[in-house]
Amino acid sequence: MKINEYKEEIYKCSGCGLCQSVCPVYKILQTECAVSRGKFKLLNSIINQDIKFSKRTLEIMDLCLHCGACSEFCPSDIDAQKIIETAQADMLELGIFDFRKLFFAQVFGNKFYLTVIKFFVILVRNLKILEILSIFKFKRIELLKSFLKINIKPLKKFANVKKEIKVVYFAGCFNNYLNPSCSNAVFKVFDKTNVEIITSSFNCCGLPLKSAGDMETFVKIARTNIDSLPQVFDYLIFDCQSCKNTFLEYSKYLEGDYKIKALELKNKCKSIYEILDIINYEPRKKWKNSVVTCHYPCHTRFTEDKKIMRKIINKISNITFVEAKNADACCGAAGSFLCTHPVLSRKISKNKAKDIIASNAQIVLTSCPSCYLGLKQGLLEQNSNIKVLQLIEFLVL
Amino acid sequence: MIKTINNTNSKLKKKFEKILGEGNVLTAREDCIMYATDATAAGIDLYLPDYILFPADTVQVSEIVKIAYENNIPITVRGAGTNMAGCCVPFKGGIVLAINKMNKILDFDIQNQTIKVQTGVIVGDLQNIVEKEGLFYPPDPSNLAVSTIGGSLALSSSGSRTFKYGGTKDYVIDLTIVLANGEIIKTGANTIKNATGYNLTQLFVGSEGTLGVITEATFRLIPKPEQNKVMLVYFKKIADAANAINAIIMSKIVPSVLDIMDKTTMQIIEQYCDAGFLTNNDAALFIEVDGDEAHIQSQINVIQQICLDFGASEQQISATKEEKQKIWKARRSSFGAVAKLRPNVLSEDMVVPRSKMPDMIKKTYEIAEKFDVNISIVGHAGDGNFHPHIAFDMRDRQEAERVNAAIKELFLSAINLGGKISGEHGIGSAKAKYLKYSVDTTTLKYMKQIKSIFDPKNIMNPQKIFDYENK
Repeated sequence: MKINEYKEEIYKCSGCGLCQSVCPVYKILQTECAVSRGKFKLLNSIINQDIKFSKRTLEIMDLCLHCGACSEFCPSDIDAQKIIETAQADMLELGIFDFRKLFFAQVFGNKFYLTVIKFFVILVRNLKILEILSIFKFKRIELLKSFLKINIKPLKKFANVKKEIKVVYFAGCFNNYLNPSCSNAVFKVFDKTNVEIITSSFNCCGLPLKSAGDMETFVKIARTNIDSLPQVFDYLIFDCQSCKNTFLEYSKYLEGDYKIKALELKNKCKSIYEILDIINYEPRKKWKNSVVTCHYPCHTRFTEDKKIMRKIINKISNITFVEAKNADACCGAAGSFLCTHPVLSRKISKNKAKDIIASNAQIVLTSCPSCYLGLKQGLLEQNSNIKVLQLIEFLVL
Repeated sequence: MIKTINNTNSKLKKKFEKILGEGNVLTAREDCIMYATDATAAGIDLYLPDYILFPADTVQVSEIVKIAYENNIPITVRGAGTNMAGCCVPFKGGIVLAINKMNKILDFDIQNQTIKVQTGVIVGDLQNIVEKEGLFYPPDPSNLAVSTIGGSLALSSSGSRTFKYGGTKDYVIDLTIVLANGEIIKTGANTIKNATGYNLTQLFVGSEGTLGVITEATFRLIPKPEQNKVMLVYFKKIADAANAINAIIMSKIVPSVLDIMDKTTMQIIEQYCDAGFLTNNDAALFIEVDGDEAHIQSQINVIQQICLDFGASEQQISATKEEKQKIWKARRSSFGAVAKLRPNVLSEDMVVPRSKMPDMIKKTYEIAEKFDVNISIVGHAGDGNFHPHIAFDMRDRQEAERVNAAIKELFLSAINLGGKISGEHGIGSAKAKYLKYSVDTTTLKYMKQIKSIFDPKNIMNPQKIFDYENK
C-alpha cells in the first residue's frame, strides 16, 4: 500500500483540531469525517493494521473538496490532499471505489466521449431543450442553462499572424467542449496583443482521473498531453486554474524522459492572466460602472495567480472592487464532487453565495469553469441575480 | 492498538436513530476510531466508543441519556475535541455525545446584555455575534475558532484576557443540564445577580462532563472596549521578563492581556507564520491594552518605562487591525506550531501565585534539562498560568517515560510554590493520578460524594478527574 509511505507524515498530526475552522465540508456536516484530523486518525489506524480499508473509509475520504484550505492552514504542515489522494488510489487498487466518480473521470479522460457530449450539447442547444424544460423551474436546469449559454458559437479561428510571443493554448474540457464563450474571450483578448496562439489537440488534463485515484490512466493522459506539445513555443497557457495546477504536478507522477520533459514544462505553464501580466496588458478604458468582487479558485491557493487576478482587476477603471469575506473559500463544486455529493455541494455553495451577497457586488469574477458552476449554484439557491463571469470574459464584455 | 471490544447493539442503535434521525447516529468502526481521541497526546492505545450521537436539543439529549441510564451505557460528551487533558476519550466505550449540531443562538437580549445559546455554539462565533452589537464576551481560549461553549464550560476554560476580564465561569449566569437519569435542571436565571439557593451553576462549570450534560447556557456580556493595541516587548533574559510582569501588575495597571513566550516558542511560530517576531531575544511579553485612545497611550507609556527599567531590549506596537490580527493568529497557533518539532505535543497547564512566576519558569528549565525533554513555554503570565509545551514522540517508550517523570516533577514544583496542577485545561484522565497531590483527602472525599449524588451509576464521563485505578 502506497499510504504506508506517509506513515510519519500522518502521525505528525497533533490533533489540535484547528482544521475545523477552515474546512467548508465541516461547516456543513460538523463531524470528524469531514476534517483532515479525523481522516488522519483513521488512516493511522489503517497503517497500524487495526482495521482495513473499507467502503466506509472511501466514503469518509471522499468527503473532501481537495480545496487545500487545511493544508495551507495546518500548523504541522501536513499535505492532506496528497495523503487523501493516495488513500483513494490504494482503495481503487483494492477494488473499493465510487462508481459515479470513476465514470465521471473516464468520460473526461476519453476524447471520444467528450466529443459525443459536445455534439449532444449542440443538439440540446439547437433544439432549445433546456428552454422547454425550464418551464418546470428546476434550479438544476437553470444552472445547466446558464452554464451552456445558449446561442454562443465557437469563434472562427483568427488568422495565424506571426507574433513575438508564441503560446500554446490548453483549453480546459469545460471551456473546450461545453461552453466556448471563455475560449472565444481568450482569442479576442490576445488578438490585439503581441501574443500568437497556437492550438493543438490535447486530452483532458487528467485531474478527474487523479482525484478518482485512477493513476494508471492519469499517467497515460499526462504522457499524451506532453507528446501533443509542438516543438517550439514560449508558454503553455491555461484558461482554467485546475488544469494548470495539474500540469504543474505532472512531474511528480511521471518517470524517465517524461519526468524530465514535465519538469522543463513547469516554467512554461502559465495561466492566461499571468501572460496578460507579462505583456503588461491594458484593459480598454471605458467600462460600465459596476461593483465587482472576485472568487479565487482553490487552485490559486499556492500560486501567484490570486495576486495577478487582483492586479488585472485593479487596472480596470470605472468599476468598484470589493473583497468578499472568505473570498478564497471553496465554491462547493470541486469537479465531480458536485455530482457525487449534490446536496452537500449545494449547501457549501449556498454558504459561499451568502458571503458574496453580503459584499454587495453586482458581478463576481473567477478563473475556473468549475467555480462558475459552484458560484452560480449557490446564487441560484439564494435567489440572487448577481452575475458570474470568468475574468477573461469580463475583459471582452 | 484498539483496546475495546465492539459493544454496538443494533436494537439500541435503532432507538437512537428514532430519536435523532438516521444521519445523526454513527456506529461504523471507522467513525468510532475518529472519535476515540482528542487533542491530547495520551498514549498509543485507542479506546473506541460504540455510538456517536449528534443531538439537536435538550429534549433529545434527555431521551438519549434516559436510555443510557437504563442500560448502563457510559456517556462522554464532546465538543470540538480540542481538549488537552484526555477529557473526551471514551475509556469505557459507550456513547460519544457530540454537541456540534446543537449550535443555535436561543436568545440575544441586547437590553439586558445577556445571550442564551445551545452549548455547541463555537466561542469565536459567539464573540463575533455579540461584537456586532457593541458587546463583548471576553473569554478567549486560544482555539476559540473551533472550540465550543460546552467545552469551555465543562473545563472552566479561560484564555489570554482572563487577567483583566476573568474566564468562562465569570460570565455564565444560567445553565440547562441533563442529569445522568435524564432529568433536566436549570441552575440559575437570566439575572445578573442571583442568591437563590445553592450556586449549582458554578458546580457544573469545570465538572468535565462527569455530573451531567450542559445543553444550554446563558452568559452576561459587557460593553466592548473602544479600542485596543497589542505590543510585544522583548527581553534578553527570560527572568527579566518575568520580573517585569510583576512590576507592571504592582503599578496597578491592568492590561487586558499579559502573556509570555520564550525563545523556542517564538522561533517555532515564526516558522509557521511569518509574524515578524524578533527571535534573537530570549523572551517576549505579549501585552494588549484597551480602553479609549488616551487611556491606551497612558498605559503604554507606563508599561514601556517599566520594561525599560527591567532591561527590555526591543519592542513592537501594532499600528493597524491587520497587524494585530497577524500577531494574535501567531500567538494562538503556538500549540499546533510546536507540533512541528516532534510528532506529539503535551500542553501542560499549571497555575501558581503570579509572584512565583519567575521561580516556576526557572524550575521548568531545570526540569527540562534534568530529564532531557524538549520544553517550550507560553503562559498567561498575568494569571500565573503557565503552559509548558512538551514535544516528543510517544512511540519512543523511553522518551515517553522521561516526559512523564518531568511532568510529575513540574506538577510537584507548582504545588510547592502554592499552585495547582490545572488553570484552564482541566484534569481529565491525563492528570487524574496527580489530583491527590493538589487536593487534600477530605476535600476529595466530598468531591466524590457530589459525583455519586448526581451520577450514582457512574455513567457520565467515567475515568475522569478522579483516579479510579488506584482506588
